[in-house]
Amino acid sequence: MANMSQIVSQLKVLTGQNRVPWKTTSDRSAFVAVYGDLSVRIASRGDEPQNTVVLGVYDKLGNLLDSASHDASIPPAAPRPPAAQLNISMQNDYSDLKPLYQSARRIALGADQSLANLLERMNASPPVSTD
Amino acid sequence: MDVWLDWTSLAVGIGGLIAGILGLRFAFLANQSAQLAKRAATSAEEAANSARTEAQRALTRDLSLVDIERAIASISRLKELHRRGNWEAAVPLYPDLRRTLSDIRVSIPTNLDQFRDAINDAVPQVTLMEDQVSRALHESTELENAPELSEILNGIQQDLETLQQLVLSRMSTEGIKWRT
Repeated sequence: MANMSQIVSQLKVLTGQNRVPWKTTSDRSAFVAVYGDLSVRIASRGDEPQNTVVLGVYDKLGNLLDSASHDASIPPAAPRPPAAQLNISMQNDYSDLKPLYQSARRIALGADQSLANLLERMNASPPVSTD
Repeated sequence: MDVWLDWTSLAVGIGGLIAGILGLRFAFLANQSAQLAKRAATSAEEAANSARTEAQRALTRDLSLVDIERAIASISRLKELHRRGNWEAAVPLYPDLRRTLSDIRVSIPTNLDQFRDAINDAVPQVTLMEDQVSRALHESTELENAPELSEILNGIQQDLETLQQLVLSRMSTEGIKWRT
């Protein structure tokens, strides 16, 4: 059975490969990716660096099915022994959401393409006259 | 006596042959008639199926048009409420719009799949809008991006109006009348 940990992990991997169709929304701090009649939304609330990032999965009617969040204002838990030593599966505290939000934002805004265009224009621009 | 028997046997043989030929002819005719009846029944069934399919298609188009009209009316109402800043009245309208959009998505005719994608994009946008308005009301804060909300609604409305025109034009081409 799929759970939010798997969704977060997979989104992180696919977003890193630029394979998630993140789009801008009416909320400047929220980005949406649509998969047929299901969608995922990632949003940041509050001011950096103490912001909270929330990821939600929505059904065809736009109802929230499940969500995961990472509150940067809450200090990370005390170091624990590695999962292998505890002989349990690693619990995801969704700290991956913060970099995922940044990557989603870059894709939705076309940041990488814009930077590439800027570089191209900078390199093509003629020398500035000093006269 | 032997000659008599031979003639009798011959007559019986010829009679049997004639009876056999007649029987075969009868069986052939009966079979042909059964095949014709079967073919007629199949044609009638195919015609009924075709009529049923066409009726279902027309019904789907009608349902889609009713929903499109309803969604456009909801969007117009929401835009008006947004303009007036009447957010309390807008909140209950978002779920209705989401449901209607979802119904439209299901009944979008084939070959117009690009509109299904547009509706797929619209539903989460409306959900987000609803969340933003609800949060602003809950926190008693001003909505800073009201013009952007209207822009999103305009985009959805534009897609719906284009879809409506395409469905109407397709119905007109196929000779299907739409209520006025």
